[in-house]
Amino acid sequence: MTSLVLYAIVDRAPRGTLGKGLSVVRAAGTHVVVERGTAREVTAASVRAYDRVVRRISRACDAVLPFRFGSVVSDRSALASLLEPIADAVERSLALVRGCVQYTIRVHGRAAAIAPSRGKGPGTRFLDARLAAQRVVEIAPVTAAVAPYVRATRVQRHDRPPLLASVYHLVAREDLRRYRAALAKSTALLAKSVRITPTGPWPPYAFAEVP
Amino acid sequence: MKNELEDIDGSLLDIVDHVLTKGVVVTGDLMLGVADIDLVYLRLSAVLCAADRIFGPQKKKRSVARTPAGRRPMIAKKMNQRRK
Repeated sequence: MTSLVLYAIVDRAPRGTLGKGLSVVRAAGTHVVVERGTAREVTAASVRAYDRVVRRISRACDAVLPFRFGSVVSDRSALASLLEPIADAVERSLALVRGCVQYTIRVHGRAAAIAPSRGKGPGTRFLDARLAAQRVVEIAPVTAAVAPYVRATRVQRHDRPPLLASVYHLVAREDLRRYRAALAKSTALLAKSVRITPTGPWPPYAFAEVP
Repeated sequence: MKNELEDIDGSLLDIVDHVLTKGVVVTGDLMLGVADIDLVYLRLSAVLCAADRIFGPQKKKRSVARTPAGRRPMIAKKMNQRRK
């Protein structure tokens, strides 16, 4: 049965053509890039192809929210009923990623020792732990240097040495050159036991979650 | 607008990690039948992803368990006293 394969929600109809088979449909006040067909198998080739399409969409649109790989709906009305309940959240997420790309920093090395919060109540200790999960103190010099160019950050601590954490930065396209320069300069300030691997720019995969 | 997104230096592993970070949607059809007679048709759509993307990070277990199971010895002690 032919369905609609979903690629991304975009803020407006893309500039120019997106490619063979791709089309833009309006649903719940937004635009969605779709392709007629059936769900793809999860293979290296299909994942690469999906990434190529999302990149193409990102080049043609200012705000892009990629769908989860493999998302399909039966028709346009099913797509509308999928998006209508979350229309406000989609609008907020589009506003966040508008004009931005994602940079990913993998942090490798030895975890920094953090002093336990003694002499505090359980509530404070709980909040301290929550805060620590959102921080990567190992790359504090880098975080401080790129902060002026980062619109949003997402942190995922792995704490499985040598991989310590993944840090996702949302960077405005016009700040990309300054962000890269700050990143390169501040890397020299890191401790010898810590190494970072930045990759990007990516479409905002890590910021495409609609609450 | 400059096409910054063209000059990516990511490996296949990086691409897979980014694309599948939110998980993957798997769809399928299932037909249940008896003696070549189709009885039930199911269209499945499942999301496969890391549990912490849905449930959030796991809480650490408490070092001292305060569960009802911890009080069992007391009950057993009372029962032993009654038997005596």
